[in-house]
Amino acid sequence: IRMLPARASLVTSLRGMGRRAPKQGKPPILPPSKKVLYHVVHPEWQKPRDVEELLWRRLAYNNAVMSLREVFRQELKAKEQAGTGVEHMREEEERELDGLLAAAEKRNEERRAARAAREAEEMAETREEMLREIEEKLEEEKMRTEKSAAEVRAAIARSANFVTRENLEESILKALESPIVYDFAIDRSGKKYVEEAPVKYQEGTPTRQKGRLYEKTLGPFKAADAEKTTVV
Amino acid sequence: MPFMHGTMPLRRTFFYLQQGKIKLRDNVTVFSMGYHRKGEGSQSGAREFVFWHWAQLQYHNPNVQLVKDVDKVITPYAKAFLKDGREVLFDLEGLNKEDIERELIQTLGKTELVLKRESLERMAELNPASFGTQCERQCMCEVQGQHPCTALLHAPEVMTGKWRWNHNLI
Repeated sequence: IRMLPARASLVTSLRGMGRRAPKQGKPPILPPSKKVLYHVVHPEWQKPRDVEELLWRRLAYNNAVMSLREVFRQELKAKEQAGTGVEHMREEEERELDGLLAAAEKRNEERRAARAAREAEEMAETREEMLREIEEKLEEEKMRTEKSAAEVRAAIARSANFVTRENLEESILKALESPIVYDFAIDRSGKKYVEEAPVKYQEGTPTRQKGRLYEKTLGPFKAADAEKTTVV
Repeated sequence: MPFMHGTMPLRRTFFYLQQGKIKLRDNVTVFSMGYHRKGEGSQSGAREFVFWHWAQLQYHNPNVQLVKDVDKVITPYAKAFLKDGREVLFDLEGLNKEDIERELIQTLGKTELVLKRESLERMAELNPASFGTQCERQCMCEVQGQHPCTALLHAPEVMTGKWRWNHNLI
């Protein structure tokens, strides 16, 4: 039984107390050792025939790739010179775009002109309409003014017969002199019976009143009246 | 389910976006459109175009900045700003959405010449020998005569990078 050196137990006992474990390998500042400095490749032995075959194949493949690249390069160059290359296509695109933009601008101009004409026409129409409306309003106002003036004149004319403070006494006396009786009766034949006008100054002594004052005996109903009778 | 959102949810479908016809040229950097939100009569075409085709336009032209000018000018218009500084103005009064689409395609859309040139450039960039996720061949092991996939069979150590270059000296 080999006993472990005391140092190992010391290290483990130090780790156990929470000390940091050291890093693996050498410190980075030290240069690498000669053993690990170079890496010598030791390829497997291959048959010479295989090596030759693989070499020939590799060379042939590279040659083919380079030739193809050269062929394509020549093709592109020829296309560029003939004017069918990508750069020429770009230039043609630019020219096409310029043409399209010019056409768009032309369309815009036409629409602008059409809009200006349309707006001028609409403006004239609106102006005419506005003037017509103003004229109608003025006519209406004129008629209203004339009507009002006529009414005022009629009122003034009517006021000639009005009773005022100045002719109040006269009007009252005149009314008393010529009373108007509005009371009347009408029978079925259309005959109108009007009340007598009241007497101004009673002459003599009136007779004794025998019946109701407002009661009047109507005339007899004759055959001639029967013809005129209307059934209500 | 988040499907039928918005006024016309059809516009949010992937198939609808793919049906967009307006593919602007590479020259165009900004495309702005002025219209009325509630335009009637001669102003309705621009409004309908924005409603139906705006998303399709952005989908097919992801590098173009699209700008909307709503209710600012009386006449509906569209304006494209090119890379060389030129501005292209379109008067859209009285046009319906089909006419607007046709005009945009005619003036700023990719013509046959442009598409041909782009396909040629794409072909030139494409190397049929390359393999990877973006190419036709995913792995070199698919080619006849090549070493099988190293996921299945280890390559000889002399072929590995760590044998040839990365020596791990320390």
